[in-house]
Amino acid sequence: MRRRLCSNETVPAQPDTGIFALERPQPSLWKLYVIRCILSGPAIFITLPYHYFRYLTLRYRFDEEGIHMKVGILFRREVNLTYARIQDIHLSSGFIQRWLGLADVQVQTASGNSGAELVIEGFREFEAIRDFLYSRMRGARGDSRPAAAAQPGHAPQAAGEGSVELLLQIRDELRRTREALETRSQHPDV
Amino acid sequence: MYSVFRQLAEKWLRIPPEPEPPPGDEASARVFRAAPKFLQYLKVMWGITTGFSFLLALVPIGIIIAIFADDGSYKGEVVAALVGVEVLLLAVLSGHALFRLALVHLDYEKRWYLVTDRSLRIREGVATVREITFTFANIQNLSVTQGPIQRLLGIADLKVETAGGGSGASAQQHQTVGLNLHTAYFRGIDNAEELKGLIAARMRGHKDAGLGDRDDHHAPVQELPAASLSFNAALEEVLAEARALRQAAAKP
Repeated sequence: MRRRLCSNETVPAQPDTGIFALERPQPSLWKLYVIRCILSGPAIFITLPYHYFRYLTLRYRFDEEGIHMKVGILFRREVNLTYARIQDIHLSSGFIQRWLGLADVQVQTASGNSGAELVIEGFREFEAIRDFLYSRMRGARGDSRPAAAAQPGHAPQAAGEGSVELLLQIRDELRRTREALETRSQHPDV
Repeated sequence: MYSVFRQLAEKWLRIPPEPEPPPGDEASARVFRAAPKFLQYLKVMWGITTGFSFLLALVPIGIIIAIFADDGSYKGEVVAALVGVEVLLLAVLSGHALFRLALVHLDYEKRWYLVTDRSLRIREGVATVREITFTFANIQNLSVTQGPIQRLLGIADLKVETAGGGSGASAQQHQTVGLNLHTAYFRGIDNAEELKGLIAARMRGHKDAGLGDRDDHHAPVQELPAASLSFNAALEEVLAEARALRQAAAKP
């Protein structure tokens, strides 16, 4: 599993298949939990076992429709979230996380919650996950579609670029016609 | 001095370099930075808080020393010890203030605002780095806020909200995101109205409420002025050429 995860980093050409393969967080997430628990002081006796089981049971699943997260050993929690409902994506990393090469991808829907509905933690390819989610959230799609007009904002520029080329071709064509006309009027007998 | 601090911070805090634009939108990405006046604003706020903390720390001790110095019944050592405490306090406070000033400077530098055709991205933070990505399809509200000092400096904050509530603590002055993750701030920009107009124009293209409906139906695309500039220029050239052609044809 780990080797597969690592190899995903080096193959950015097919990010989707790499993301679909993600399941367990990296072992460095456990390190992060340990550091955080040590920093939390005397509460370590409660927080460390809790985080140990959290690390052990944390599972993610990415499929065509959405993200699924499952965690917990006594109290289980399962979160399902469809890509189309994603409102905003946050990438947040404290410096300890950056030392370990990790970051949190906080995903939110339009619920009445000020916190994140789902936090994807413990993956080194957080940027790839973020970009993957971005490309599937509302308003981000469009480059895969042939109909450029379906995308507001993006379409005028795309249409503009192509039509400028076309217009310049029309101009050149007109110019050549004019030049031909002029040479003919100068030599009427030709 | 400051550059050493910055290098150390970049090295030890592993502050990532400039953010990447969202995939698929690289061509249309515009990168904003906080206005230079925002640094001035942050420094003014730093000055106010620093002055206040000095006042708070020194005045009580000063009063006590004055009372003790007046009162002959106390020995000189007590006064000397108090003066010592005050000097120590002053040193600690100054050190802390300088550190905060450097941090303010770094915070100003590590701040990027990206706007593309379809989304916006805000990166901010030094110890905790945050990167927020919204698509325009999801944005609900735009508001510009400006305090008196900000107005004096000609800068403003643009607040962007997506759907979803929650009573997160309000963001602090220099933060982009408070605890409420549905809100993002473009802090200290000098073109807030322009940016607001730009985002509003992009939002207008979306017919739905921005609450997670599938985006397969949209209002007819509006021509955006920035994108159509070169298009119009080309049109004008074609017109000129067509006119010249007509004149050439009209010649006997």
